[in-house]
Amino acid sequence: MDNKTIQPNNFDAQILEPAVSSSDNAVQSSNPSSPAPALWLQEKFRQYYANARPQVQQVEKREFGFGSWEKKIEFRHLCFENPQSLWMRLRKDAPLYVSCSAAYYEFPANRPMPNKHWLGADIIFDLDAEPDAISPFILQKTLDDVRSKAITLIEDFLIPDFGFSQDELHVNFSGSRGYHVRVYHKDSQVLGRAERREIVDYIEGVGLAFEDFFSEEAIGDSDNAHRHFSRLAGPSPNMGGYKGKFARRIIKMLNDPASAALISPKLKNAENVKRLICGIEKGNWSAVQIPHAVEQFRKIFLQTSLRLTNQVETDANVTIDTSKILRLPDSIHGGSGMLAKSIPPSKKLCEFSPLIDALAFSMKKTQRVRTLRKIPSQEFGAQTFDEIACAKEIELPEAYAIYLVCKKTAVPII
Amino acid sequence: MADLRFLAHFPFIDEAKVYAKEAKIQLTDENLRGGEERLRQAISDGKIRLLATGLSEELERHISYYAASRAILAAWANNYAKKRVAVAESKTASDYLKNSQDRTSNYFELLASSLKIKITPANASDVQGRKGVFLIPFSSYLLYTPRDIHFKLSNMELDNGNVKVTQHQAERILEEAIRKRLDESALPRMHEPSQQIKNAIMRLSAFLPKEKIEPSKIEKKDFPPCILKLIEHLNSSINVPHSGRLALAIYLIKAGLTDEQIDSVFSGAPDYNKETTIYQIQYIRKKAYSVPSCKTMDTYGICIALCRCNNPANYREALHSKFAALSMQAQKEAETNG
Repeated sequence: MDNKTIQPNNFDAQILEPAVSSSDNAVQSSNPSSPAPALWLQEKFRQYYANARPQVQQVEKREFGFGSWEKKIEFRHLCFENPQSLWMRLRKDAPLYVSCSAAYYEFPANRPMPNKHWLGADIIFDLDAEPDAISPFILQKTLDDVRSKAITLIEDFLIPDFGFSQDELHVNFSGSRGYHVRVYHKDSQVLGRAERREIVDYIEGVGLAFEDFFSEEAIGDSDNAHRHFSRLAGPSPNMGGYKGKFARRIIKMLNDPASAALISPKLKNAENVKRLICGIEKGNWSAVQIPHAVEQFRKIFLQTSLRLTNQVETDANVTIDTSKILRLPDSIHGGSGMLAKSIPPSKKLCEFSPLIDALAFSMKKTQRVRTLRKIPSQEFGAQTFDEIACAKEIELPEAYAIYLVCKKTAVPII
Repeated sequence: MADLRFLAHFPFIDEAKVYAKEAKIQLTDENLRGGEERLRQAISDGKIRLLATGLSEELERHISYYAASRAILAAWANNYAKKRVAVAESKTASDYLKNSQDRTSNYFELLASSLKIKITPANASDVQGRKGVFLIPFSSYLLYTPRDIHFKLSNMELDNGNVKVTQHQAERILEEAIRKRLDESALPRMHEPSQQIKNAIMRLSAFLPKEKIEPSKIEKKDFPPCILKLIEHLNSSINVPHSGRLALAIYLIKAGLTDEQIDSVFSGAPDYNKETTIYQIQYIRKKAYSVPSCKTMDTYGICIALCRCNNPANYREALHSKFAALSMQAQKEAETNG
């Protein structure tokens, strides 16, 4: 390798420069103590970055961070004048991790943070599966679960409720266990931490007051108390927010005879169901008298997952933190060797399969590796690989070999 | 261009500044006296007297007095006064808005537009038959609503990027937007203030709260971070939301402070009113409310640390048991090493 390595002290001295904006004063993310697999990976990553063009809006206003074998973010406060200087730097340094700020700054390289002059930040949702305590590998099923959660976030919340258009949404695979949904919406960029917390709370249904959903409305002759009767006023399906979601969910349940009967035995009668649906559409929930109706609906409300449930974690801190840096779309994730692949608007998210579509390296070329532990049978790159014993030398497709090396479960044999 | 009455009622909007500039309004003695009186009402009463008539001379004077009040405030450079005046101006503007409801003028839309907030009347065909419902983009809604459970986005009708609000909520949002604008905007720059302005500041200083309990005067070392933050905000005259004030009052009552002591803590609030504060402290004391849990505090947006005590009221105990555990561990280690 002909890359110059710079001693850690010099490294710091260069990073401390207020604006690292060209490749001339580039720094190496490898150092003399980097282990052989890291240097080998770096060379592979360099080959990828020779032709790759990762993009992010307004690159000149973003803060970047590079990571190494030891640390995902080892150096931050980097900035680039234009996409070309970023690409040159990636080719030269080939960092194992590249992160980019959600925020826009006047002076992205300045520090401490207030000196950067924050201008705004995209809203980012980070959906991640819980890491498996036993296995470092990514399972297809886990990825499918997170993807369906990302689809729910977009189709049930971001588009209908928050009114974002498809063009304002950018989705990319995180490169590891989840997805990043980035919102480019000018009016929302100025929102601070407290406002972003409200958005997260909305999506997670925090602070929902079910008791505000219903009220008793008196109807009838106001002069004659005896002729008074009340109706249960509640949400209608065309309302926004959780009220509308709840009314629509109940109507859906009513349209299924088995579910309707669970609400009340009275709803075994199709005529009653029809009457109740007609009532709910107008906000009248007592078109059919259901004993203890509010309590009954409360139970359903608590059982129904109208909100993004905890099956997949939405990392609230990522959305709230207005100075967070996270994986640059279309860069390689050093923990998997896979791409933080952007999903183009032309491709449906439900058709995207990271273990096939987010590969940075070839499944045709091969690479010899020695395993450091038993590798379970798993799917990768549209193939199913058999279990591999520990300490075995084996020829594997390059992408899979890099994946195993990134997971620190194999070392390359060069 | 908005009419003169509108500018006089809402003299902080950009159109009023343009008017003042074009009318070449000067800091005359009379204007300074009017400006000083405006500030006195804001600081001591928490509101500014509403204009009774619509005579153009009086309307113009009103704009001049406002301009002069800003000049005095700029020279004064007192954070408490600035915040207190921002609250008073916003409450006064809110009163003008409410009073304008019966008139044909479209004050509401005009003011929102001047503040660059897009508030539009909702479609008349509201299925609930509700009247006076408005739509506001969620980003503006989040920026200008108080952090209060009643305004929590989760409980609002959010549809296609807009939040549906009642007339009352919309007025409250505009009030908050005005307060924020006045609180955060830079005051006009001045070189050396005139002697009249210096005298006015001296007289106005007499209306500032006499004694404020500084955090150092309260035995605060056992207070949880959220409570300390609320006290710190009040001491810096930062507006604390209703939910925060309630939690703080309950906590301080449970901590054994007297009504007078608690009132002093709240005296830094920019909308402070002694009578109301004392009444509310007594009411809360009578009701014997429990301190809201950490989860509730988090929902209110006032939980600031992961102290894992489940309830701010448990913090002291949790802190002490933590110290006790650490101290026992240290003692054990010392014995083992010895």
